[in-house]
Amino acid sequence: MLRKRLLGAVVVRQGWAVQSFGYRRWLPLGKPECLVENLDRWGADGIVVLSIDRGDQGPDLELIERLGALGLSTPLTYGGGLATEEHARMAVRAGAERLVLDTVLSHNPQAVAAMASAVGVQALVAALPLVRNANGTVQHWLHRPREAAPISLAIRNLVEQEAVSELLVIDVDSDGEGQGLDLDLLKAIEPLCQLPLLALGGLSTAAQIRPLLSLPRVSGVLVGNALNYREHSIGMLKEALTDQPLRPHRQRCIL
Amino acid sequence: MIAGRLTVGIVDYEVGNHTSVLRCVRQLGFRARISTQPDQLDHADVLLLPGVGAFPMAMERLHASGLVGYLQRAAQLGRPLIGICLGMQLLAESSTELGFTPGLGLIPGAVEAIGEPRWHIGWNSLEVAEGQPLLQASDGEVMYFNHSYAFRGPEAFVAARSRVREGSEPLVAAIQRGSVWGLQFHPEKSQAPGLELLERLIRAGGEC
Repeated sequence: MLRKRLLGAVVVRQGWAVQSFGYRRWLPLGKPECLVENLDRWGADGIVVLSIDRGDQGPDLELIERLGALGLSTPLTYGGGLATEEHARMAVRAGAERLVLDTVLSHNPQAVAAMASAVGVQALVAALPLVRNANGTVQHWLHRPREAAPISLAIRNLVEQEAVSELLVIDVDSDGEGQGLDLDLLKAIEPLCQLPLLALGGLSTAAQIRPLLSLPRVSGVLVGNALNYREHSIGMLKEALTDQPLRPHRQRCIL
Repeated sequence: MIAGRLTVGIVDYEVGNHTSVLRCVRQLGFRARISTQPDQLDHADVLLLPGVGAFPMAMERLHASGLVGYLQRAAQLGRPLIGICLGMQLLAESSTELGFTPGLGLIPGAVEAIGEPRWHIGWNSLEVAEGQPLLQASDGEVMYFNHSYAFRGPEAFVAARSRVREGSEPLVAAIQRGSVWGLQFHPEKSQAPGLELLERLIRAGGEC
């Protein structure tokens, strides 16, 4: 039976791993390699590295190569600056198994099909950062120009037509707060498509994660900085979530 | 752990995560090199065909690199060959991903869309078929899959299966014909269970 996933998220800004607060403030944590190596060693079900300041620079291939050089035996997903088929191909070649697409979904949705032909739809994840406006309506948070807007028709079409294989729902307002993710965001997104959903934002405890994993459409959750403070954080979370269909914890053996 | 000094030739056709596979194989203690060149791949004890991507582009790259005939001859000669993920699918006779494309034709069968659900992404346990001593130790182990197309072919060549849900129709997780193996999952990204399985296959290949 296919298991749900407990994924470690590492946010990178200006080359440093950071703790992100609402996509507005950042606290430096250290070298991304150190955090990623720990997640690999601790037995995460996957590692998601999000470079949040790439803009038009393209993906951070040097970072992906440095992470690849660690000899990870955990699937690595990368997001940041991915805008073209060539970017997708090079990021996978550098060592990423899967790619998170964000700005390209709004700025150039036609590029997604070309990326899929290069690396396969199974490698593509669409990121959808969400916020609520003053009257509670769920909206898409656009990094550029840093404002909320209704989810565009182009993005609705991409996810409905399954041009990607998973949808990463990000609760922007909960990001970095450790107070849990707004479940209503997921419920607002579910009718848009049949894609499996990943969830990120504000998750740190088993009590916060359990309701998400209990949703049939949720295939995995991403936990960020909360994993960094304890050596066995992945194992401890999994131990507390044995009632959920997660892969049993198995810390990496050192060969 | 230091394995025997077998050499693994990683077939490079510019599609996929070859570097990850290279590091994994070296971590297991084997010699490994990535190459597009038949004369260099000739020195390998075991050939490894990785892949992340779409079937038509991968076959196009293999044809452009002149590697289709090379791999077919290698299989005819009984050289050990292990395909991983898309690399496994390329071993089949054809695929319908993004249109019909002939494959390497090393193992009878075709690659088709999974159906419902459309994706098989994440960690899933292996059901090893009877008569597969090399895989038996991995029966029930959980491996990392990431695909939306799957191999369908004669039972005789199916070495392991996985099910998306309890009681659902199984998906082919591994195939074998002689010294040619295909693994739909990523052993190099399946942590200890995947590394252990890959090491066994390479060692067995080296004894051919």
